[in-house]
Amino acid sequence: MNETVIEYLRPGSLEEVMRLRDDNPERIKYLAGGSFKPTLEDGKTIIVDLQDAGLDCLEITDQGFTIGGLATLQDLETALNSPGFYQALSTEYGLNVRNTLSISNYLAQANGRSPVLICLLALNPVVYSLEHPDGLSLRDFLLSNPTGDVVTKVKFPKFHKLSYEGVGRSPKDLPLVSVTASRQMDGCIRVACGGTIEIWEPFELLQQVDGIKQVSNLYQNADDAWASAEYRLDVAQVLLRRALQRLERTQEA
Amino acid sequence: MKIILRVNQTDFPVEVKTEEKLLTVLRRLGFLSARSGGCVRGECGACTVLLDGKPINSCMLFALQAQGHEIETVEGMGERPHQAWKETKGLEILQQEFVESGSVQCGYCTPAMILAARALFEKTLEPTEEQVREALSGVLCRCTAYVKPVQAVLRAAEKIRNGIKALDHQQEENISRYEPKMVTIDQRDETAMIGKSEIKLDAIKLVQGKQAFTADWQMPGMLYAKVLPSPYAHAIIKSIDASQARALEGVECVLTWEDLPRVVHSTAGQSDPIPGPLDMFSLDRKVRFVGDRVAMVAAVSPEIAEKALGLIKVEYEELEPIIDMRDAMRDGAPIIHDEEEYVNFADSDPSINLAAKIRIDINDVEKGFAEADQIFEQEYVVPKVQQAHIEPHVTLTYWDEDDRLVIRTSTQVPFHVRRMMAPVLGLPVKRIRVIKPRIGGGFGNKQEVLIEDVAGHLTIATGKPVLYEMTREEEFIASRSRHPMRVRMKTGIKNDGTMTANEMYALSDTGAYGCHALTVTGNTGQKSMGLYVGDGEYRKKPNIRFYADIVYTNTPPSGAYRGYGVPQGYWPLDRHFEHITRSIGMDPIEFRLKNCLRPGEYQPFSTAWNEGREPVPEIIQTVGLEECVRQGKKAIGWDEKFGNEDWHTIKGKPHLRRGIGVATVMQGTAIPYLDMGGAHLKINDDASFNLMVGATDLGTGSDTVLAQIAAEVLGVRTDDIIVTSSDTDTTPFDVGAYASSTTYISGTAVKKAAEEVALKIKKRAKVFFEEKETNCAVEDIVLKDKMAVAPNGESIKLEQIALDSLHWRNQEQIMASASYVSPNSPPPFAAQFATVLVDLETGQVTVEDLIMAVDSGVIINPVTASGQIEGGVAQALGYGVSEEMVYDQRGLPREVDLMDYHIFRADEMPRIEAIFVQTYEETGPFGAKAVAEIPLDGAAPAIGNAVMDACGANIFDNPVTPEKIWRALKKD
Repeated sequence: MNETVIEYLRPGSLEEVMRLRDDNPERIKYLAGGSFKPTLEDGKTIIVDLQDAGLDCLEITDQGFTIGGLATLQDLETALNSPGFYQALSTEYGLNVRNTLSISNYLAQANGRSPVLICLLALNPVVYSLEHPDGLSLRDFLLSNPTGDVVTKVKFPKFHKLSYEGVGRSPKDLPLVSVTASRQMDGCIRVACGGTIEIWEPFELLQQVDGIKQVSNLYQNADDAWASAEYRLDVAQVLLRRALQRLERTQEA
Repeated sequence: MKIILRVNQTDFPVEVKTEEKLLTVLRRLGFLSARSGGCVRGECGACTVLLDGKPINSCMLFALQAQGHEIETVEGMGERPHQAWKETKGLEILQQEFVESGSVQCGYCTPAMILAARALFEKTLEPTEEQVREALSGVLCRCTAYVKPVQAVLRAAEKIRNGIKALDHQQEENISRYEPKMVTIDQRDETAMIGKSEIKLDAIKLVQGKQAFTADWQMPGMLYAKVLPSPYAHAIIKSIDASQARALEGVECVLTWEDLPRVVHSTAGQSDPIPGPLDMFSLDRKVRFVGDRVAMVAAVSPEIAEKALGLIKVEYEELEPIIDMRDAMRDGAPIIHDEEEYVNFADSDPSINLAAKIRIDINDVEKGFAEADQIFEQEYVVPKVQQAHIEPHVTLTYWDEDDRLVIRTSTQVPFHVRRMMAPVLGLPVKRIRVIKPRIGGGFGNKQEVLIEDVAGHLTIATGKPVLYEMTREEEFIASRSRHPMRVRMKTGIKNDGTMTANEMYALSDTGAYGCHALTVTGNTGQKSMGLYVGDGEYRKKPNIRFYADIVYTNTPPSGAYRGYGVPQGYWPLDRHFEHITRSIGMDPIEFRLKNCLRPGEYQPFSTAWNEGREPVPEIIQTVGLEECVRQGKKAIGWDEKFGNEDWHTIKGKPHLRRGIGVATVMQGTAIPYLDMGGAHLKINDDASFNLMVGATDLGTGSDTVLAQIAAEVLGVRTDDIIVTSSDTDTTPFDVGAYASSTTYISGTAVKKAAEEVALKIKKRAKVFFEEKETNCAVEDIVLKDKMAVAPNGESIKLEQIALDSLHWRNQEQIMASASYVSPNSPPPFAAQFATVLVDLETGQVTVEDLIMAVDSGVIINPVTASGQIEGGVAQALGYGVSEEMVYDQRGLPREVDLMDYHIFRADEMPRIEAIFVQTYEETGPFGAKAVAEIPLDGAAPAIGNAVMDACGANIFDNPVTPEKIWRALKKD
């Protein structure tokens, strides 16, 4: 068989990655850490393994923290240090996946059924990628069809507390309905909802009654093979109430 | 591309393809403990290795990415302590504890769990149970319910902390043990090996990750098979063009229906004649479900074979599908099987999509209803669920040097594979050899002769070895599953709780093919309805009716799944009884015990049904159900909880309610007058013995149990018995591992063979004793501690007798063969208890405790038997709350992976406990009955009953999902 000659590179910095990208826009396959389906598409003759490019670092500032796109979900959990996020993460993935899957490759396949994503949406981070070096909101990034793109870093604003509520068929089953609320440093509460494949826009909450209205709008047509809209709509309101109560209960820096 | 991988502190230069995963390359280097077939998409964790000390899934990285990192596998851990003259460090404590705890069942995920625990130990040697469960959360296990692995890790940590070395049993007095609770209600003679938790004979190799499973064998020139699945639920293949696929470099063969002889057959691995219709072909011009075979490819790599599938051009003519079983027999329904070769069995009628029909009337049901004070009627639904064994179906075929086709396959039924594949492949039986290596779980799905023909045809076509390993998606769309059913119950009750008549009608969905259609559904009635006969005069003449129609639909075929139809019976029956007892205000346990079968009574169905064969009336001798109830009640705290409002409520959380439930169940032990097993036993020079059995150990520990039976009779240790199982060339016939038959049937065959060998040994011993002027009768000589002992205490080593027989005088090979077929099927019984926590606002149910007290007769090996119960209960837990396979109107599946088809992880399990109530079953070897299937029967209805107890929601459709509970609560 004729094997195509393939080059394997491990650039030592993001700048080097960008240079390679500029020189070979169509030929590069990026290896951005662990992924569920590592595959090599036809026509990709340069493999750029990003593990030495400094994309797995963590930088903490007064305003929050920035984590590299090649950090794993477990690294992210450590950085967030939030019981709410841990609950969501451990619902979705066992320890092995958390240790293997990079943030970049996670985001490339995430959808609204993912409790991790619902948490991230509530935290309102900015995502920087090779295609979007100036950063996009998480939802905009996800809607930009990020397959093939690589997340270089995710910048999380400092937040006060995150609470996650979900209902599944078992404690670690993907939730049929999930609601996350985060209290930001300015006191604003940001809510994200999930359970269906759709990625809904998170919303700022002024009063609980507004939240219930918003939730009703989101779920009114949320029928799929897993649950009815009627069920989701009702239960999401319960979960929202609980998430907000949990936010109130204890302080979390 | 050449890279260096550092594995277990050694550098391995290795040539890799750029797209090769770390898993693939590690296996090529011989690190087979990273298992290849669990899912290969990050869901199961069977391919775990440690990367820089952390457990990761090696299928989620390219090999290239692992350069420069430290990789650890279990091959770098301990090994067997005695390797001839070579000193080894022995097994590590973790490995040893996995062995001793009975954590190794099929063993497929064992190396992964050991590595995960090892990584935990780097962080702490004082882990909490929660931390251990978290550490194991990335590895799915379908056998153990994680009970024993968690115990093993905790105990290993304890031993390491205390400085106790592996195998240092003297220092272990203060360390927790693994033995389950045992209550004996019928004591018999003392035994040396029976009732002892001997370590599994195969455990030591499995904790080292050695070559054991089918996919671990690689052969020169081996090709890889892939199958093109149908995208339509019901369609005619109008044309198929494989020319581009055949032209692809690396493709050696593409087969379509045009290339193969049409041999109609069934894939149900059962005795001859198959008790079901013959309705399928290796490849057909019609496809009958999404996932049905269209073409098969063999290529030099799996990737090329996969690519070739995409090059096969197929033109389909779509036909109307039947997805809902209720549509199958309606007027004008499309006919799924219109092929002229179709072979009927009994009442099957393809013209109305009927694969099988059952009509059983025991005494006079209408009279019983007329005598009732109240009649209760209700319809119940049970779902299609998947066995989800972590090792997929995998088969390797090749021609041997004598042009015999060798089929090395992960099967529960090697002898059925040989017989059933012969006509399909066009070979006489004598030119086929089937070898069963280690199996990574089967749970009935490998009672199907499912893929052996694919590899076989491709080997015949190419002349080369072919490996076919199903993907996880194929397991969901193209293997077998539990039959879904709609079941209508009608029960007559007197005001005092006496059952006067009981009727069940089951509409059962066999999917696109009729595998196990009749026999599974027959069991649904036989082993659930058979438990309850009524009380008083009704005990002598119970009024029972069981009717069933088993219909074809355009969904993946149903088949055998542990429990074999019985869980489908107990959900409706026991839920129905719960509803009745609450309606008439009777204690649920009192109601069940009042109406259930007692010793000395006929199993009512034995007078009317025998899986399509002549009925054989059978009187049940041992029924430990009452004691099971007593023990289970005590263990779960029934008396303190049931009816106690304080226990049901959670202080400060009014939206939560606790509930407690019970179900009582019965299974079977083998199929009478049909299931047969053989054994052959011979002595060696050192008084070890080779035991050859056709019985198939699929992780259950049956090899060990059979060795214990032989060792008990021969007065030797279990590890003096070398077991060879399941090679059609070298071991005697056995029907295989199903119907909970191995210990009972194959065990009796082993016992008979061992008794014959023992007699020969004793005769020779007598000669020795006479030479020492000790006269005694042969029958007075006892074999124990590897000696023959005369009544006066004089003894002679068995080794001397072995040498005498093989070398010294009147030489003969002391050996014997025996087989056994039973006229009986003594049922095991059990009481299953559950407690749950229900969220009244969301409907979420959390199962907190599952306790099962089981009468399986005398337990040969308590640790392995309790592992069977725990693992079975965990599968039944999934059946109760989370597992189901759902299809849309076009027959497209909702679940194709282990993310959507959620099986329980280590970090979400409820407390599971097994208790054994030992009766002595006279017909079983040393009093044993069956163990493996009964744990599947009671958990789901016990959970359903507990939900009802918690909040009043009476859920008729299994599983009890949050939305169903929410709807029931809203309705109320």
